Amino acid sequence: MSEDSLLSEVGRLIVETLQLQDLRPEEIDPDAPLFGQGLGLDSIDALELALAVSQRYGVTLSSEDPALRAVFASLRSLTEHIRANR
Amino acid sequence: MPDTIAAVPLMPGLRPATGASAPLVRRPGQVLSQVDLLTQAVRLAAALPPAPFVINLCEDRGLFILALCAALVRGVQTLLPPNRLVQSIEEIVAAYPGALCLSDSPVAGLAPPAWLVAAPVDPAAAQPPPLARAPVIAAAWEAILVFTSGSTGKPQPHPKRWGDVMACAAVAARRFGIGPATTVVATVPPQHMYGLELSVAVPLAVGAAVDAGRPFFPEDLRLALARVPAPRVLVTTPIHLAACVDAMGDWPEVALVISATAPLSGELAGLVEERLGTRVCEIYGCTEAGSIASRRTLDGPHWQWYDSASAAAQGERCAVTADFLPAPVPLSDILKLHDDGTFQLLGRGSDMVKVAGKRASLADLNLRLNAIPGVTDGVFVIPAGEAPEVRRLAVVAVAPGLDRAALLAALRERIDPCFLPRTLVLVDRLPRNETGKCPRERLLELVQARGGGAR
Repeated sequence: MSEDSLLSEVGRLIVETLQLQDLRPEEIDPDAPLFGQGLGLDSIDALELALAVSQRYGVTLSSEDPALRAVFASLRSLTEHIRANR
Repeated sequence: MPDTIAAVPLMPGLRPATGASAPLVRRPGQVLSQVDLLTQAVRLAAALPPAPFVINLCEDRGLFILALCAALVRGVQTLLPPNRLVQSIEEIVAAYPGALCLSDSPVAGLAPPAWLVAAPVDPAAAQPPPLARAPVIAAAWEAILVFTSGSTGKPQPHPKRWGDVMACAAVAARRFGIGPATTVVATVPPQHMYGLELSVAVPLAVGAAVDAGRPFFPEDLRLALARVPAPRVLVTTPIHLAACVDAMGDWPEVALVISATAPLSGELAGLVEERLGTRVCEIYGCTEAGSIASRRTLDGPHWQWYDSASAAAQGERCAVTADFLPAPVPLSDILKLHDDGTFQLLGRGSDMVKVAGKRASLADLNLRLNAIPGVTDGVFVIPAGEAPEVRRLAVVAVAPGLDRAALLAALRERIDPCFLPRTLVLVDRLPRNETGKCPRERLLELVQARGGGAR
């Protein structure tokens, strides 16, 4: 799978899972923050997203992973984490 | 609580003979005993600067309990804010001047006096002299003030007498079979009523142990449960349960799962009971009254009052009385009281909305929205189809000069993040009718049009 297509696939996963009505996946800036600023997701979204990522790609997220903050920093970092661990 | 009881132990569950080894707080690689915690609390109480109130912001549950016990020993009221927004904390400090913030990590942007609470470097090293006697607290003293966002745009205090807190905790522990051998693992913050009661008060009242963390992802929860010995009781919410049911891995044995803050569907309760080989119970309560009733979800829609609790109708609403409440508390939910002493939940009072288990007053949210500079008129809207639990709110607002990002940023400083609108519609004028009200159908049309109708 090409780099771009996994990125858009994860972007679509975010928009669909979290029901972000006002957003099209291609509108997500891959390097913008997902949480707080940027997309403005919150902790509930984090839970739902973690579940969707686990179900779709078999990648488990845990707060014990020291890189967790970095994983969730942006669409691109999340995609890379999935790519490396699927 | 009978008025004849003058004093209550700070830790009724303290076991005099074995207290030095009875576990109270568990964290990876360390067990803090009841006596150790009391000793640390006495030391911290002596070390704190003078202050008329304490605001307890500790996220680590063990440090929260330590800070709470230090304040109790010191005879200083503990204030618990409704959220971690700097604005909320500052509003409380303004109303309670001189309040000292106790936190286990710096709070960015916080100006009021703050004291960092840390675990003693080596709790085992300094062998403390045994406590001369276990601390006692005046039962009628309002030791804790739990704040909600209220309905007036300012945080509202709900005072809790220490005797009542311990009495209710004892009742709850009996209801759920939690005793000295149990370890409680909770996903909810200790500052909110539910977390305060189940993960702080119950361990203090009956000598159960509690995990110091606040697990978040299903994997965190699974690991946290596995690290503590059985019997385990999980204190959590429907949101976490829904995430855990589909999570991978081997789950340790859990004696009981307690859920609260939002209704739990029978379907989800059934899946949890099957997946974890456990029983699932729910608690009903509110910040005003604390927890007052419970049910095993799969047994059906009837709730059982806690021992000594009952309700009397007050018009369409009702008020609850109990030995552990100082006075009858009116409930904002609509209950159907049955002759056999049980009740059913019919619905919520119209001003209140719950999003992801957190309660807000729409009136309060609207006040805060309209207080934003640049907003001339605005209203929160519960989107159509959001039943029985609201997933996200919407906002329709008149704010010339502000774009959506700026308005969202302003809201983010003022309200709990879960209430931030997923759909935000900027208009020239709100569709108010002759009486000044916005008809819901007109608001929904605006919300749906902006959202593109896609769902």
